[in-house]
Amino acid sequence: MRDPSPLTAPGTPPVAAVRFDAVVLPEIEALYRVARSITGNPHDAEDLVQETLLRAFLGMAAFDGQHPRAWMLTIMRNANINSHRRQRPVLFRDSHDGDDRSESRSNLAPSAEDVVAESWVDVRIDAAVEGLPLRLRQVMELVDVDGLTYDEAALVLGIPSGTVMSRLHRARRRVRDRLTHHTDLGGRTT
Amino acid sequence: MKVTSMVHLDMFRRKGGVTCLQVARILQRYLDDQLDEGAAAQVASHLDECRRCGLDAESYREVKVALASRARPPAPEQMERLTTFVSELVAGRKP
Repeated sequence: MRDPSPLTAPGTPPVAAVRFDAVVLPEIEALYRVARSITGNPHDAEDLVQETLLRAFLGMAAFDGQHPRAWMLTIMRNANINSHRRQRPVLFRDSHDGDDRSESRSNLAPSAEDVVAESWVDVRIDAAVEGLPLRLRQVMELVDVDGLTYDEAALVLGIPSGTVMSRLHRARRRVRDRLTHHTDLGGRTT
Repeated sequence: MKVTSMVHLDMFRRKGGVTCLQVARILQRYLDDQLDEGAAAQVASHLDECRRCGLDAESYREVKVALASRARPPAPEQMERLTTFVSELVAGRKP
């Protein structure tokens, strides 16, 4: 009988598997948020995250252990590009093509709690974001909604980080100006 | 008053060690914690002292908070399925 290695003793997963677990689990929620923005619906988002996790697992040997989120976002971008989806991902669609974010909001009757909790900014901000040109809306979704850094958003979109920053700033200015055009930020209509 | 003249005048206003125009150029990076400590402190000081820039920053903060509230994390059952998926990969039961 072979002596078991300390790292592969019976009942103990291999070290690479243990590392994979520790690396990806903290990133699942962030990956899902981005996948949700890319695909536009929860089912496809879950599929895309699973595909990303599988590719990451298979490519774990090449991972240097640095910046796991950036590594997985790159995998997600490639997985999404390579997949033959019938629809263009929502994040890459023009706002006038329709977006289930606004559709799902309008189709679901808000609860009384929702109505109370949702401020005027939340109500109007949807329209302001939907009215942005695609290239500006993309970065705003990824950074301000999904919580990515400039560099992470750049990986997802395949553009330089400086371009993310400039587009994001223009997007925020337009949204802010559109909101303040109708009302001040204290909630009073002008 | 025209906006352009306001911007021009602001170039000569200096509060907190930086001008309004300088703050306007780096305000977004300040709000995203992308400035080094020294620059961030200068901007913070300016925003405390300059009402117009302070209000400007506050309006952007409100937009950022409202946008962040649009985030859609996975539902608990989705999170459970994804976590299980990882466990099965680790255990060698997938693909």
